[in-house]
Amino acid sequence: MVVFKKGKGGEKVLEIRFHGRGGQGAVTSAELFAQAAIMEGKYAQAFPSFGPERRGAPVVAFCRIDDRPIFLRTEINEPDIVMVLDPSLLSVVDVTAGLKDDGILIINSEKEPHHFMLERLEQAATINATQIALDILKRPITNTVLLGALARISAVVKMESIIDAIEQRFDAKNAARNVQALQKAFAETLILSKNDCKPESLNSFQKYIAAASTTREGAPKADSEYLWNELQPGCVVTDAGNAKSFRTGDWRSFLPVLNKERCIRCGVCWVFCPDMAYRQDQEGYYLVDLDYCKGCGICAQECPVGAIQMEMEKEADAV
Amino acid sequence: MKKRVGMEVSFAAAEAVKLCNVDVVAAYPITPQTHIVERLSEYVANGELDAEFVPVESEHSALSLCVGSQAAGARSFTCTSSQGLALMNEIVYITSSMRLPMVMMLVNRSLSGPLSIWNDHSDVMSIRDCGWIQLFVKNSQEVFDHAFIAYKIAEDHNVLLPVIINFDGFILSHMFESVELMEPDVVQQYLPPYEPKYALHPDRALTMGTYGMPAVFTEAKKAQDEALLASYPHILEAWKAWGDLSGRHYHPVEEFLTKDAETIFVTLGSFGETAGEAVKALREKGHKAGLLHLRLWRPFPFDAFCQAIQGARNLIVIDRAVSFGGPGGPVASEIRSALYNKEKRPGVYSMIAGLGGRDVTVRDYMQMFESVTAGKASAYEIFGVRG
Repeated sequence: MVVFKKGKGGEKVLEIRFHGRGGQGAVTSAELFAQAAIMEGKYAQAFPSFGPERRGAPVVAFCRIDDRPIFLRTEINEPDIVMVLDPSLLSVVDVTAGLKDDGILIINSEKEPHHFMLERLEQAATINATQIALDILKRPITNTVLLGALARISAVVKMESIIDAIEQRFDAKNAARNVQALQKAFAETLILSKNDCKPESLNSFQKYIAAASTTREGAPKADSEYLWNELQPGCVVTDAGNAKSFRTGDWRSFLPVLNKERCIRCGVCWVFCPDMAYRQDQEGYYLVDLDYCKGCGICAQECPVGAIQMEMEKEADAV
Repeated sequence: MKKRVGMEVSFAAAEAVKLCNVDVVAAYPITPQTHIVERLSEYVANGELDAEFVPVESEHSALSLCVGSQAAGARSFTCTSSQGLALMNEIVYITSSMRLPMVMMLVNRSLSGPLSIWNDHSDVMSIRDCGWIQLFVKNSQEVFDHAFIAYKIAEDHNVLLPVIINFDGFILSHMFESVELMEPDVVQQYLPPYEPKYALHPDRALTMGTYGMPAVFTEAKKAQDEALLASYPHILEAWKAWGDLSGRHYHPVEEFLTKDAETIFVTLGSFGETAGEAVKALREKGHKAGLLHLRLWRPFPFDAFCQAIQGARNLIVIDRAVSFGGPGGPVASEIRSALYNKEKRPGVYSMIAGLGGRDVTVRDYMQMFESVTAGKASAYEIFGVRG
């Protein structure tokens, strides 16, 4: 169980990073936890990774809690706890980047925590938050559910305070359902501590995240690699058409699945796809390119014969 | 002490503007200012705030409208960022020359291009010479408090000048943190209803926004400059009265461990808080570091500033905007000019940092300190630039 860590000056601070997708409520999650801490008389900050939020795109939010007033105005790069709201992110971003050596990883997953344990971590925890959210909230919004797991792991903020924060934020009906989901998650969170971990179960996730954080072949040079004197005058982009190298499929949380028996090969999906992610195969069927499909569902909406169904993305089988 | 509550800083700002009981809000949405006016429009729509909310078609119109409403004697408010301020520019100068005491919150964001929605101070530095009183705040509480303070200063008949409250976009505007709210009756005691010195009214004819022939233009500008300089003691009074009421005291320059400091950071806005953490860490290592937060940018508090940096060997001035082709950052250049006639003056190192949303960490400040004290820093550099 995590309690406050003592800093050099005796100050106690806890830093949490939330990984989710735009629209899933990672920021709300961070804000509710901060609100709960403030209600207890502590000091807290909650903030998003600043910028435009696109529904489905990977997003990060932060929460910093302290016994004393907080003066840091920087992002959290070395969190004590990492929370993953959406398991499909695990193949897209290295959620463990910068996580402290004695840190804790909390993941929304139907799997047991040993799948996600790293040698250097103190604890890994899993909770099937999507299922709880679908059962109780009737939609796959996992932000309040995950807080149940966080409360179970960390003694820094009391469960009652989180409930108070939820009740303050939502109307009575929504609050009641969110509190129910929160309590179910609190009860069902599976926790694995370093000492209870079998050594043979340690390597698979390490390899997996190493693959997730490897730069893709053919990926354009990252902004963070440019020197000032390498930029074209006026920041002109000379290799027009480079949008192809941005794999916007990373934003997808729903996947279009084609029923070939119904498909009449009319090409309406190809016409309407805003990302030109559809390609025609040799038999004339239109197949989606998952590197670019953002999962917007327009193809499924427009298909005149109902041959396309949107299905929720699952966490990758490799984990 | 009153209970602290958690809320997004933009909402705390809107709450404060509501408590100021403004008569007119005119604004056009622009990131990262949006949440403030969104919330104000809700207050007006649900009857919590009895004001005219005018969803204008541009920032130029937003400020033009406020000029009109303020001239008619209405307490007026607008709010913008970056390109929005750039579009307002023409009217920004007119507002101060007409001595219209309105308040603008400027949620600082970089000016394009390349297109950037993130935070720096290039927007406010583009209107450095606009004649408004300009303040910088660095956390939610200061944003909240300064709404009242700004109107108190502006509407003082000894002042009658518009006030800009600068606060950092995203870093502050989108931060959820705690703030101590004030009761409406306490605010009303501090900020009574607006009593205009001059107001347009059909029964009392007068003309505003006049023409200035060469024969009088210089005198008009001298009068305007004197008015801005003369506002200084009244700004102090407004802060003093607020401190007496709330227990939170504000000053034109705010010192942190400067008394015996050999090297002092000078910052504006929320970066000062992180810099303060760096100063603490440097002190722990035995270095004589200090921090000076410049809260009042216009009128520039020369005397208070010079007094605060007495005895320092080096000043590291953090600028969040580039003065292209110039001798240093806008704030550093001003400080150098302020110190030029002093017999004993510190070295002034102009460090540009935190442009367009670039994070500046405790480690970065410590690195600046080390390069300056080791004599390796140049007088002007863009800190951390690659290449």
